[in-house]
Amino acid sequence: MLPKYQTEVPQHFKALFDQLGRQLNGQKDHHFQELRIKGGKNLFDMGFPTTRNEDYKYTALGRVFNKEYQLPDPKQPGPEMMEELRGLFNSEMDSHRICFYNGQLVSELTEVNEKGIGFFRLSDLSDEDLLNGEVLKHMDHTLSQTNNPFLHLNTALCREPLVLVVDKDHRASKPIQVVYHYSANDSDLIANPQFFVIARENSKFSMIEKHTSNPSDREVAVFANVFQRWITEKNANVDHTKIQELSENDFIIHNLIASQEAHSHFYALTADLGSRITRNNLEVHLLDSHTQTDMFGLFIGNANQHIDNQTFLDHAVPHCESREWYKGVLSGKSRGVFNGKVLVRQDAQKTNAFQQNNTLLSSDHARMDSKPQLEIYADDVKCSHGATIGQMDDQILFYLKSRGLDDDQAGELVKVAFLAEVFNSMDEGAIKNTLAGKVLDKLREIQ
Amino acid sequence: MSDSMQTLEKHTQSEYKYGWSSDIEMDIIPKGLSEEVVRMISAKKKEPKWLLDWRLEAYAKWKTMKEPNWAKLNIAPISYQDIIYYAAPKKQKKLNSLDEADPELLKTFERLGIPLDERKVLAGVAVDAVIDSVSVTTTFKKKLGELGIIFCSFSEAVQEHPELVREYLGSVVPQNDNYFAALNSAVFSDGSFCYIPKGVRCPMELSTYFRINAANTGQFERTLIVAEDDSYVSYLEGCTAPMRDENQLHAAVVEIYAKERAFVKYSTVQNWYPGDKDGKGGVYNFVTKRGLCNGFRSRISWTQVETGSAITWKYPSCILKGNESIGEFYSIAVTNNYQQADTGTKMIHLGKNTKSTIISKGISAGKSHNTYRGLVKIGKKADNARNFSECDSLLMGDRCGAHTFPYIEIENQSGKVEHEATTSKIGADQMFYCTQRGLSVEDAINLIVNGYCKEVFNELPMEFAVEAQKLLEISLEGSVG
Repeated sequence: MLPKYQTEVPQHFKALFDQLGRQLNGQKDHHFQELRIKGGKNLFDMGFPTTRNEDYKYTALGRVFNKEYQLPDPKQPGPEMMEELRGLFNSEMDSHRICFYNGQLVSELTEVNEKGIGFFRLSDLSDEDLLNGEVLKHMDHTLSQTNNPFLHLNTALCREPLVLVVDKDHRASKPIQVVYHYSANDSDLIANPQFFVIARENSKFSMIEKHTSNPSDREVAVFANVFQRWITEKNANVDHTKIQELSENDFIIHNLIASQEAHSHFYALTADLGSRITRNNLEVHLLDSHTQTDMFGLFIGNANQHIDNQTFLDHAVPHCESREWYKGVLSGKSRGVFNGKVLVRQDAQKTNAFQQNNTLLSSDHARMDSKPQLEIYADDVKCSHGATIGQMDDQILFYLKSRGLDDDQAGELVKVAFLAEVFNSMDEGAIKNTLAGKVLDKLREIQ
Repeated sequence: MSDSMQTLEKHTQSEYKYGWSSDIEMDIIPKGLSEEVVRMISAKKKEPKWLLDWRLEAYAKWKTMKEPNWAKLNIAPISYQDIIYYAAPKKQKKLNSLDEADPELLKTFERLGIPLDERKVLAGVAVDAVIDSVSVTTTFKKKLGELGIIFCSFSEAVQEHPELVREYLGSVVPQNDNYFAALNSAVFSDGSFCYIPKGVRCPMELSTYFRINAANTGQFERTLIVAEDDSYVSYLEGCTAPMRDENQLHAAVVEIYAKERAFVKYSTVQNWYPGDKDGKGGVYNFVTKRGLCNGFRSRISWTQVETGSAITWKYPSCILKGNESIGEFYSIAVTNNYQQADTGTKMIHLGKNTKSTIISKGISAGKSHNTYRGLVKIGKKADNARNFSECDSLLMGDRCGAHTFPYIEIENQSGKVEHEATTSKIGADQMFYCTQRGLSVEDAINLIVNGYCKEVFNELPMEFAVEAQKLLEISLEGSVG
C-alpha cells in the first residue's frame, strides 16, 4: 500500500495539476501560481498517509484514492442548476450569500453587500494591494508549516482562492450563508475550494456553511477537499457553523486552520450528517493571551458512513480558555472516529482546557474509536478530558414508554436531548433552528 | 529562593538510596548477541531441545523486527551488541541450606531487606530472590508444595515441570509480540514460575525481588503464572538496582494465564536506578506484561508503583476472553529529573459481560515526562462490556510534562465506556489549608500526594503499601507550584 500512496496516487493528481496549469494560462503570472507549484511539489514529496500513520490509524483512504478524478468545468452552471442552487439557501434567514458550485464561485448567486465586509477573488486584487500580500504571506507560511498533504493538494489544484475580510470595529448586520454544492455526473469529481477569512480587530460576525451534493443515484463520486484559513485579530468574535450533508457515496476532507490573537473568540461547530467518508482536520493556534476557543461537533452516522474528526488545539500562550465537545449517534454499520489533541506548551500557564467526546451507539455493527489526547508541559493549568461510549439507557427509555411514547418516539427524544447539548452552545437563533431541523430529519431517517 | 523551592531542590537532589553493587564472582559470557550466544545460554542452563528451538525461533523473528518508535520517549540508541546477555553468580556446589550460601550474597539480601530469616518467616512471605538472572535461593517451597503450588525459578521449572512450561510458555505473549518480547524470548536468562492448582487459595503473598547487579548486564527475566480453576494468588514483584553510569537494558516478560474463576493479583514496586539529576545513566525498562482471562469469571488485577528507571515502557494488559471476566489496572507512575515514562494498560474485551477498571495516577517533577497511553477495546461479540478509566496527572514544576493518550475502540453498542482525565498541580488553597493547620510544607505535600495516590495504595498488599509510600517520599516530596 505504501508505495502506491506515495507514487501512483500523487501522479494522478500531477496530471490534473498540469491540466489546471494549461487552463490557467491567462493568470499564470499571478503570485498564487507560485504557491500552487509549491503545493504540488510538496504533495509529490510527501505522498498520502496510510493507516500506518498514527493520525490516520482509523481512517483508510483507499476508497477515496480508488477513483479517476476530473477537475470541475470552469464554466458557470446553467440556468436549471442556478435555480437548484438558489433553492439551497435558507430563504427564511436574512443573510449575505456566497455560493460555490463544484468548489468554484457562482457570482450570480453571491451577494455580500455591506459596508465593512469585503469579499474578493484573490486574482482580482492587484499586486500592490496590501491584502494580496498579506494573504499570500499567510498561505505561504501555513503551507510551509503543515504536514497535511491535503492542504498541498488543495493549493495545487485550486483554481481561484477567495478572500473575505470583515473590517476593524465592524459588526456584521446579518450572518453570512455559504453554500458549497457539488455535482458529479459522468465522471468522478474533485473540488478544491480555498477560502481565506480575516476578522479584523474588534469585528464580529457569524457564518453558516453548508455542503451538499447531487443525489447519489450515480456511480461516480465527489471528492471535496476544502481548505479554509481563518485569522481572528485582536478582540474579534467569530462564529462558524458547518453543516455537511453530502450524498452517501461522496467524500469530504475539510481542513480548517484558525489562528487567534489576544482577547479573540473563535467558535466552530461541525455537524456531519452525510457523505461516505468524512474527515475534518480542525486546527486552532493561539497566538496571544486571553482568548476563548470553542470547538463543538455533532455527527450522525448510518449505513456505511465513516466520520472522522481530528482536532488540534495549540495552547502556546498563557491565560487562554478552550472548550471542546463532540457528540454523536452512530447506527447501521457506520464508524466514527474522534482524535482530539490539546497541546499546552511550557509558557501556557493558567490555561483552562476542557475536552469531551460522547458517542451513542445504536446498532450492533456501529463502531467508535475515540482518542482524546492531552499533551501538557505547563504546571499551573486546569485541563481535563473525558470520553464515553455507550448505548441508550434502558431505564430512560422505559420511563418515556411508560408515559405513552412508542419505541421510535422515545428513542428520538433521547437522541435529540443527547445532541441538544451541542447545538445549545450556539448564539445565533436562526442558525440553531436550521441545524436542529436537519438533525431531527436525519435522526428520523436512520430509525 | 523560597522555602518550597529549597525543599524541592533538596529532595530532587537526594541520591539514589540503593546505589551500590556487591562483589560476587560472576560467570559472564562475552558481550553481543548472535545465534551462538542464544545456544550458549541455553546450554549453560542445560535446557531441553524444544526450548532451544523456541529461543532460536524467537531470535530469528527478532532479527526481522524493528525497534518501536511510537512511544513518547527520547531514547539514546541502544547497541544490542554491547550487552552481556548472561551473567550468573558462580555456584561452587548445590546448596542445601542458607548457611552454605556466599556470605557476600547473604549480606546483599540483608541490605535489600529481603525477609529470609526466621522473623520474616513469621511474616508469611515466601521469597524467590533473583540476583542477575539466576535464582539463587527459594524458601517456603515445601509449605507451598504441600498444597500443590509450584513456585520456583524458571530454569528449575524447565527441568522439573517441562510439560507445564512447554504448554504455557508464549501462550499469552507470543515470541514475536513486539521487539522487546522477542528479544526476551531469545535470551531470557531466568525468572519465576508459579503454578496454582485447581481450587487452591495460595495462603501467602508470593514475592520476588529482582536486582540488576553486574555492570553492563541486561536482565531478561521471564515470569509465568498459571492459575487453574477456582484458584487465587497474590504475587509481588519489587526491584532496586545499583547505581551505574551506563544505561542498562531491561526487557522482561510476564505472562499470566488465569482459568475459570481464578484470581491473580500482581503487584509491582519498581525503583530501579533512574539516572542522576543530569539524566546520566539509569535503567531502560521495556517490559511486556500481559494476562489472559481465559475462563468464566477469571480475574486479573495489576497494581504498579513505578518510581525508578530512566525510561519506562510498560503496558500491563488484560485480555478478557472469558465471559464475565474482570481486568483491573491500578498505577502510580512518578518521574523526576530527566526520567521518561510511557506507561498504561490495554484492556481487550472479547467475552460477554466483561468488566475493566483503570486507575492511573501520574506525577511528574523536574524535567521529566510522564505519559499515560492506554487502550480500551470492546470487540464485536463482547456484549455488555463495561469499562471505567480515570487517568490523573499531577505536575510539580514548570519544566516537566504530563501527557494522556487514551485509545478507545468500541465495536459493540451494548458496551459502556467511560474515560476521564485531569491534569493539575497541587492547589495553592490546599497547601494553604494544610500549612495554616501547622503542617510543614513538606508534610503538606506528602499528605496531598498520598491522598492523591490513595486509590492505588489501597490495592497494594500491606507491606508493599508501606514501601511504596516511602519510595514516593524519596522520589519527589517537596514541591509547590
